[in-house]
Amino acid sequence: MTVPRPRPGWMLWLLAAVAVPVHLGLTVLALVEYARLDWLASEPYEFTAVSAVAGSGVLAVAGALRVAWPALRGGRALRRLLRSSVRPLPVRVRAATDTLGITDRVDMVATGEAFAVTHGLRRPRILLSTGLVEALDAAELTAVLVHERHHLRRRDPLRLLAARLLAGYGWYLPLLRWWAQRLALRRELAADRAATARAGVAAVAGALLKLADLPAPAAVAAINPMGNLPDRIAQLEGHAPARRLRLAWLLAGATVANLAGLSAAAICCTGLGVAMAGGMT
Amino acid sequence: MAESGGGGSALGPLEAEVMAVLWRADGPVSVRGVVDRLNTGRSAPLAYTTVMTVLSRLAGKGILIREQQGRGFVYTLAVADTAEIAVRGVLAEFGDAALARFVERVELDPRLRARLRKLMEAKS
Repeated sequence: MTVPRPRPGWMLWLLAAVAVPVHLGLTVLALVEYARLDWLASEPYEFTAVSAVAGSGVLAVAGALRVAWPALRGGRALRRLLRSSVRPLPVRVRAATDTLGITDRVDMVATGEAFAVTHGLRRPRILLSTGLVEALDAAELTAVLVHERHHLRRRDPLRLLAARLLAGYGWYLPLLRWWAQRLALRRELAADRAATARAGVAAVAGALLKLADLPAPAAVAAINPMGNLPDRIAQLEGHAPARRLRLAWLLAGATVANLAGLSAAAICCTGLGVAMAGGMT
Repeated sequence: MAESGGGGSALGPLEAEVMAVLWRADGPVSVRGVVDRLNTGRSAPLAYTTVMTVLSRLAGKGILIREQQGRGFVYTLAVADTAEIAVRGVLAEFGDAALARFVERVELDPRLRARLRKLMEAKS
């Protein structure tokens, strides 16, 4: 399979690590400014600048919380579930997890629905359902386990959450959301490559078919109804994933426009803050 | 029953009672049937519409299956036990915020299904 190496995303992480604290700092400054602003005497541009920065910061934090909250609640609910409902691994599963060296990181719950997830931020674990084990043959089970082991080793739950938090924080920057989705896709594709290398294309395809296919119509999110599947199937067929560059450029344009507006306001605001600090001494 | 397994936290108290009725029942139950069973030995009987609302909410969550029978609906269980309800609740609550799921359950496009079949058969 010839798939181009994904480009490193570390530059974006670095940018975020600098930009987010700076933005939060400016927000605090702007909020303080509000308290001090002499509403009648101040210039309209001052008011606009302070409002833009304070507003963007508050909305950004709200956007990040919208991602963090369900993750927190879900994590709690999952831990509760694990305390009450974990079953011992069946012999078949045990044999597979022993071979892969992940037996101490795998839990199993008894449900008819077939699923496998990797969860947990600090010390990720894999959760399997009895339905999954019943649905898959030995090679398919290995494929799923190797796929999840890849997520586990790379701490993908943490990465995905961090990317989504960042996308939530900068929700008015469409490129970030797109990047978070691409990151999720790249993680899935990488895990699929690991699974294919170990268990073969047929096993990965079989597992995808058995676990994704929902025969009865169900209420599924309509925005991206097939999720990552078209790209994952294309990779199994030996094609590189679609790069969707035109969309990326479009989103980048919108992102730059939003950032430029915000930065202009921020620069005014910073100037104001510096002037005020200067005036105080 | 509904209170076993510790997974009942995904259900409200009335929902849990309704589930207990369906667990005890052997097959589909009508709304009237559920109301009658719930109200046996109850000092303040529940209204038909209240029970109907709970049933359709549970069907909406995918925990019950609703089918037309005659002029009304009958309900059957779609899940095996409380663990299953809890799992569904957890997965729904999480969304995809901090989970890596092997694959989302979707209604596959017939062409994608065909491609997967081909991959499955070609290289096995």
